Amino acid sequence: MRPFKVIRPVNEKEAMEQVSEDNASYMAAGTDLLNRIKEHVASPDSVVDLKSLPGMNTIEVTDQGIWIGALVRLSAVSSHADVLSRFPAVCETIIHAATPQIRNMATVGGNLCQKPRCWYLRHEGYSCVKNGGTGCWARDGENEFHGIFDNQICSATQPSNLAPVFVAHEAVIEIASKDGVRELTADQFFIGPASDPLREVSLEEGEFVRRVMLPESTRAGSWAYEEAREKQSFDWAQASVTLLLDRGGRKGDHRVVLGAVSPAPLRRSDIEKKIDGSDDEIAEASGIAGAGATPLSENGYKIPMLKGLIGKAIRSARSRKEG
Amino acid sequence: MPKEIQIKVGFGDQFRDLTVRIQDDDVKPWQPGDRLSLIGQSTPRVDAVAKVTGTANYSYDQKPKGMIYGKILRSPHGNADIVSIDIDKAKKMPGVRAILTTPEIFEDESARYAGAEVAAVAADTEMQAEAALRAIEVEYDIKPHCVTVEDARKEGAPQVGRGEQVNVARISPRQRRGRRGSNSDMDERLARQEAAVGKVIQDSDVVVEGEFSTQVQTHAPLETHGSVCSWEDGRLICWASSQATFGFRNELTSNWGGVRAKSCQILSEYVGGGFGSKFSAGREGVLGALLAKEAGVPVHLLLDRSGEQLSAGNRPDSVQQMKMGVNKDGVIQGTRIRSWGTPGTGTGGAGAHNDGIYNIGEVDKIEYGVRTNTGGAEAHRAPGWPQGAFALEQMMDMAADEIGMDRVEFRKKNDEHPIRKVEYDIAKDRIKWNRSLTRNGGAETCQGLGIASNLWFSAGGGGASALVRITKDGQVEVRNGAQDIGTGTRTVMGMVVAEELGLEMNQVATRIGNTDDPQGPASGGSTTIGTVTPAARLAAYHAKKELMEIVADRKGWDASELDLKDQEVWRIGEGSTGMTFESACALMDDDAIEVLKGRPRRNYEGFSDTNAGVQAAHVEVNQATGAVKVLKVVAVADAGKILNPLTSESQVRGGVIQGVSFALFERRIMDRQKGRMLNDDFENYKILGSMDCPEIDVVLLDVYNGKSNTQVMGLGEPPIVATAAAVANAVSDALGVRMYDLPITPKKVLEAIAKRDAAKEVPAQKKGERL
Ligand SMILES: Cc1cc2nc3c(=O)[nH]c(=O)nc-3n(C[C@H](O)[C@H](O)[C@H](O)COP(=O)(O)OP(=O)(O)OC[C@H]3O[C@@H](n4cnc5c(N)ncnc54)[C@H](O)[C@@H]3O)c2cc1C
Ligand code: SF4
Repeated sequence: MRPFKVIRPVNEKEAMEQVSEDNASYMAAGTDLLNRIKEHVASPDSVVDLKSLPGMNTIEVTDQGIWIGALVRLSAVSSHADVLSRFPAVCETIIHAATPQIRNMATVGGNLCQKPRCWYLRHEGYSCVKNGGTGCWARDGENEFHGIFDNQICSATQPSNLAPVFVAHEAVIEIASKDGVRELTADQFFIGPASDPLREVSLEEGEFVRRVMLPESTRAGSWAYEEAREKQSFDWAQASVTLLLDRGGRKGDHRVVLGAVSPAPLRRSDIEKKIDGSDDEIAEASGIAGAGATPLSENGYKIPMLKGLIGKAIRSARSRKEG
Repeated sequence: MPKEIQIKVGFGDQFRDLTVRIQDDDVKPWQPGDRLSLIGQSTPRVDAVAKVTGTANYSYDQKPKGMIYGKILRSPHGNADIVSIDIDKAKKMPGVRAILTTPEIFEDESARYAGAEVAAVAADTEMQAEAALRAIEVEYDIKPHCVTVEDARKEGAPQVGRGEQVNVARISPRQRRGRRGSNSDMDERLARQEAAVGKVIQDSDVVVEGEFSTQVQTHAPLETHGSVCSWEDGRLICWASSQATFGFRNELTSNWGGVRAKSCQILSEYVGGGFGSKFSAGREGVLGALLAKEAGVPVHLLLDRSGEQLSAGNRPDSVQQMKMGVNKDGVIQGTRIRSWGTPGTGTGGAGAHNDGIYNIGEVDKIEYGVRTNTGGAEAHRAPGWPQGAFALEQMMDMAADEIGMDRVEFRKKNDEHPIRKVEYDIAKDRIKWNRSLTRNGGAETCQGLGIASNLWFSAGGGGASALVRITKDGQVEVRNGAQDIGTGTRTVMGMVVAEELGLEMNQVATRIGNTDDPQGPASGGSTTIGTVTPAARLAAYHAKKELMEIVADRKGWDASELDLKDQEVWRIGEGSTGMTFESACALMDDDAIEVLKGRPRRNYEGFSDTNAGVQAAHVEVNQATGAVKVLKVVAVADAGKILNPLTSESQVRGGVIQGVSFALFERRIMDRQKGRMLNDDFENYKILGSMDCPEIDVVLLDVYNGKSNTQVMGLGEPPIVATAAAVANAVSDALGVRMYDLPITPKKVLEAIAKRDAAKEVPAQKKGERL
């Protein structure tokens, strides 16, 4: 590993100043960043450790919703009684992520801001649009695990398990920036390569995530999270479906968000509309899973996989509701 | 002079008397009905606690005084020659103590795959060594590469090797070289064979055929390859992660790389797995020894995970074209086989054993090795067998279905193995072969059953001696210099000695993995236990005889009437004399009795030269996600006399686990553009985890096979042969479509379902339905 300096800022202003120095990176638990440094695909001269900042490590329950600090560990979120009872889908997506050991370390902010897992991007010596070069190796290469939607520029998928469920809940991302605090909805926060191939989240220079709010108004009447992967012990999703039914008690206010198939979580309002309680809603909804997909040489299977997952998700959400 | 003895051989209710000639000083194999106190009893590993509590020191954990760290620089190019290496900058980096380059050490300028060794550095810290590696400037002459069998077989494909080496070479029957018979004779013979077998197949009642393929599997032992080397006054002490301590030593005392250690001791007390990839010191072993010599301090050079995945060996892939002619009565008439596999840039074989196990009639088999610009293959747990069994067993099911015969009955019809005949029925019974399951249906999940067979040859052989030492104060130790790569050899060696001396397990100390001790075998071909334990028993037997003579002498008894049992001296046929083992030892004049005995070179005539084995798998396939869950594997295994059921069972479980992992997950993924491996890690190189592990039901048959005084056969390799084949058959059974390609990933399952359902639209699918 290339040596680097560790900076422990005492307040947000100092953190932002330090990270704006040449070639510095924020770090939370480091489960993603340190691996990239070891693989020589990230080489910061200094690392600004957000863990030294106060106040970002708590979960706060209010009438409007639940605020989760960016430094809260994934395992602390998934075992939190209020999150479990009000936003169970969030907990479900977390327990599908990584391993217990990593979930005990990894933070919510780090999970949202982790870099994609494209194996070209994570091997030294492959230069592509995503690391400042040109072109894409996956297009004519090994793309079995890459995305099937919005994959013209870059087909690396958004790796975060929290991203789709946060989009489905219209989570509010609170960002510390030089001019104070700003907020984005999760949907605005995650971006595709068309806006800027170097970034997956819309954070500007020096900005960092302070906390995230799950709005009470999006609590689901019923829900499901279905994920397909090769191994059941620690593996990344090949495709996932997050389904929220009747959010905030509003009948028909559904959300279907697809994960691991596109650069940013993909909300599918066309599928949401098909979930209407009719007898053939499953066939109708899953039948259009592949609409708009542009599969690459090796990943066309993700379309039937999504079909299967949408069917499972609807069945599971419906049975949960009745049960 | 050999002596003749009468023994019983067999198993279950099939025993017969046999007169065998055994080495004159050897002891009679244990007989059915013998009163044994340890042998045959499940006995925990003597090193279990040390291993699970982390106090066992593996080579990786060694830290001799003054130790520094070695690292290897690897070529990033798919195929290249090294033009020049400039180490000037690296030499001046902080902490750097030694730098070596591979063209200089191995006289090899080629770097024929991405991962090939180019240079090695030793420095005070790992980070310094890595920094120095990156400061080495290498100029490459980059050549075009092929990293898949498909690419390397193409007309006009770039040359993988150098000089005269062609990409595709016939490996079986071997291309002839030199005088005896010309290649055109051979070509003619093969053409005649093709025509003859072709006719046999054509004339059979039914013909089935298919092309099967399997992937490259890396060994992925938890402890990587390499060693910690320390030179002390010209003597090389090397803590090696090795499955062949003596072979490792011989390489370091040889000329290879110019190590030429005058004296060398290998220490491998604990080894974190090898699976066939750790027979040689490898380039990393040589570089470690040389770096330590040049630096003048001990060097730790064990590979990082990427280096391990890239260069430390793998199981070759395969493409197997099979065509089989079968008569309606179920007898296989003839089989035509063409197969291809890649040893990478290695020299090892890449064959698939797809013509073993069953009697498959007249055989026309030609096999090709295909060089690719990838890391060299090494023997991998039953080399060639799991991939061969996969193709063969799919064919067996296809043929049985085609003639409408039960899949097990069809196998029995073409199988003469006396043990396997019994094992089929046990497997059938325990997997509930005739149960009804939801197969091939419209439901989200479907289930299926599959069966497949093992074969192995592992009664051990010569090449081992053991030293047994009994001291005046009653301490017992047994030593053999071979290693225990996790199989339990150490424990079983101790059990055999304790049994012979009438002692308890904790009364016998064991020393292994040390080349200063008596010669032991490489752990290959599942021969370690069959080689080491007869030597240990023989040494213990003679040590006991010496002790009994001392006792007899002192007490005025007849030594030939004395034996040791239950930690006391017994009079054979009568019971204890009341004298304890310790008081017997106290009668010695000398400090200790020491007996060194070598195992007989040859195995005796016995019941069977081979182990059999049958496995049956029960799987569930999720048709929505394509996920395969192996619910249960019944593994019926035999290995001669089962000395320790616990470690035997553990071997079988390990084989099944690695076999399921091969069936569903593991595969090397190469980027054809740059010729690099993309999953040289444990993230994308997927190995079965606890949640993917089936219930494993192990049934062991105890076979008195008479081949040696312990009659044991190895069990490292046999249990992996059938697993993937059985799982694949079960998946095909569940889905109603044949799976031709391993590993069976969700992608392939979903693609197979799509194909099946497209075909279903027309007439209802018949094949593969077994209800
Ligand atoms: C073996 C393995 C398996 C995994 N499987 C999964 C999986 O299935 N699903 C899944 O979702 N994840 C998975 N992960 C990823 C894991 O969840 C992330 O590594 C983790 O969440 C990152 O959190 P961290 O605190 O360690 O982030 P760090 O590594 O510290 O940071 C990650 C990135 O985010 C930036 N960052 C961190 N915090 C902030 C902040 N508050 N504001 C702005 N930027 C910030 C850092 O600069 C860095 O670029 C896996 C990881 C591993 C190693
Ligand atoms: S998918 Fe994206 S990250 Fe991967 S090689 Fe292509 S452009 Fe680069």
